[in-house]
Amino acid sequence: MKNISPKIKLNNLLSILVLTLILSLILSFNLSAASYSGELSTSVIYEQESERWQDQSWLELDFQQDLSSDLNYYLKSALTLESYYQQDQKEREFEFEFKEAYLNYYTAKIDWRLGRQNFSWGSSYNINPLNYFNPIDQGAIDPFQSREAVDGIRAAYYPNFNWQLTGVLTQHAEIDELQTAVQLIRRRWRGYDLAASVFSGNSLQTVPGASNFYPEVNKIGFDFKGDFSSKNIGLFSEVVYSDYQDSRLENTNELIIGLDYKFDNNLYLLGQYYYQQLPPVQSEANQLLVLRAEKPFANFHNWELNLISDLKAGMSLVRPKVIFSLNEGLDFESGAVIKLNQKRESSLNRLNQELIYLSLSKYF
Amino acid sequence: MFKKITIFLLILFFFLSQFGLAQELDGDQVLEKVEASRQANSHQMKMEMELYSSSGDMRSRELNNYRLEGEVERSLMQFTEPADISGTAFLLLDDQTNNQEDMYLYLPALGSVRKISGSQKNGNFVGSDLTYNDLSIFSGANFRDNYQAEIISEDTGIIELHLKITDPDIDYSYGKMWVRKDLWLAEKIEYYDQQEELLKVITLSNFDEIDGNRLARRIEVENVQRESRTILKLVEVDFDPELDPGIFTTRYLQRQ
Repeated sequence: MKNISPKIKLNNLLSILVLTLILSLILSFNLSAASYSGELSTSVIYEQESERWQDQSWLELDFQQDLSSDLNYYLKSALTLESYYQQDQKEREFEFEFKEAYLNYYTAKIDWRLGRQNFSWGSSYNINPLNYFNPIDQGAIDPFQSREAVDGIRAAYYPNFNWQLTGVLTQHAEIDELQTAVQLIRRRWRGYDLAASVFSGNSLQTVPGASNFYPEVNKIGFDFKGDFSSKNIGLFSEVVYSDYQDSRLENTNELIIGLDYKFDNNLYLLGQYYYQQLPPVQSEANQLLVLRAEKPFANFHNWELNLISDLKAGMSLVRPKVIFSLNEGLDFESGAVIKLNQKRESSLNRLNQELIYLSLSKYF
Repeated sequence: MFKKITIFLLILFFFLSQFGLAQELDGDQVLEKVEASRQANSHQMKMEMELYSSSGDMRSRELNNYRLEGEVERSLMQFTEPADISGTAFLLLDDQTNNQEDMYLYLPALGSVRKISGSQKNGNFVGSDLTYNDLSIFSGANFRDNYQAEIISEDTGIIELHLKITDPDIDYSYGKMWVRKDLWLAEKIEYYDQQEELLKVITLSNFDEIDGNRLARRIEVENVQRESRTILKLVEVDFDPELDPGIFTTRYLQRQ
């Protein structure tokens, strides 16, 4: 086997130095109001299309400390070691990153958050047109379920329980311009939570055929979540209108509507339809159907089945997953990504690859 | 003389009949007495939950439960152990006047508060043998809101009740309750499934009285069909504490 020398990124060394400095500062403070938790995980992944084995180990640490009753900070760091094996080649990558790092400050009516953070706007499952800020993590096993945090500031104003007004200012790593948005939430209106938002900045999606071009766009979005009928069936929807500033791009609409329900036997079902017009002129709209089923079994274990169908291209993606609870805080997970009727032009094909994985995780 | 004896006997008969009437309770009145064992308008509880599978494997959960009664009943549950669910929190707001119930969930992995549908109360509560409704009753909700009771039998110490389910959200066909007359607390409850087969046996023990409120500190739920068990222990209880209403808000959940 021919070894290629491990790539150790310069920024990883700097990150470790910064982490050491921060840890020193943290340890010099009183730790009585600090808490930490984490996850140690190791996975073996076989990528079928590239016929490549990958093993991945990571240690994720969450740390939070209260500096006063109104001020605290939170750090989520991840140390990852990945190894790739393909035919007679072997490659290793080692990376350290702060996935999230922010300061919280609370006043009587406003909660502030400054730093690297996630913004979970939108009530739909995984696909959220209303998440204007956090790009999909394309390297993740399930990109739809993984978002990358961005640096920014958030201020949430709570005049009373039923209303919330949030303002956000962020900067994405690959876009120089600031991204801004405001969201107004009305809770508990006839059993529904409603939200309206406006955004000004750049689209998170590059235009096909023009990578690194994130077009300027203004967006307006609406969202609701509640349930209906005597059975309390969940109903949710997101609608976003995008006004592109580039004259070569058409304005677009995105719509998600979905239902969910949990049965008495603990079976959980979700169904969601996604319609997405695309900005390039004369592009056909994307249409995705998402179905999800989840159920515990044998008391402590769980299975999940996700099906995403690209109704335009006729391709589907199936993600079965089983999680075994071996002991308290120790899980063994097995899953796969299977492409049915694979079509190169489908976004599902571009964002996902067929694979099988086994994973062992310890939570502490 | 005869006249005096007659008057005396009539008066005695009158008082005895009043005493007898006072002792004849119906099933709903027994439930009312059970509810009256807890007078608090709010509470703060720390609970431990042990989940046993049919093979004897055990998992444990620790959670804090806060409850505040009023026009809108508010309940907050926060999991503190084990590590993989620590930080998960449920907020329930039940506006009984307007017949509107809202549930919110905070998941640390998402870092956000989500409104969840009422159907999430179906099935078992976090993998235990308790349903959400079972849990809310044991933490202070009213039995009479969910059941109509009829006395089946009675001896010097115990009253046995038949429970007719009046809440359509409860999936049992009927229940039975054994109430201790010295405490006016249930010591055993049985629930029967839709096929009228015995489903669960709930045993309450370690009775205690705190600030005039009587409760069971240990509740064991046995699912006889799945052969699994859940043991719920009330580790710390405080009735009518000074609870900040602000903890029953999505803002407070988001801060977690």
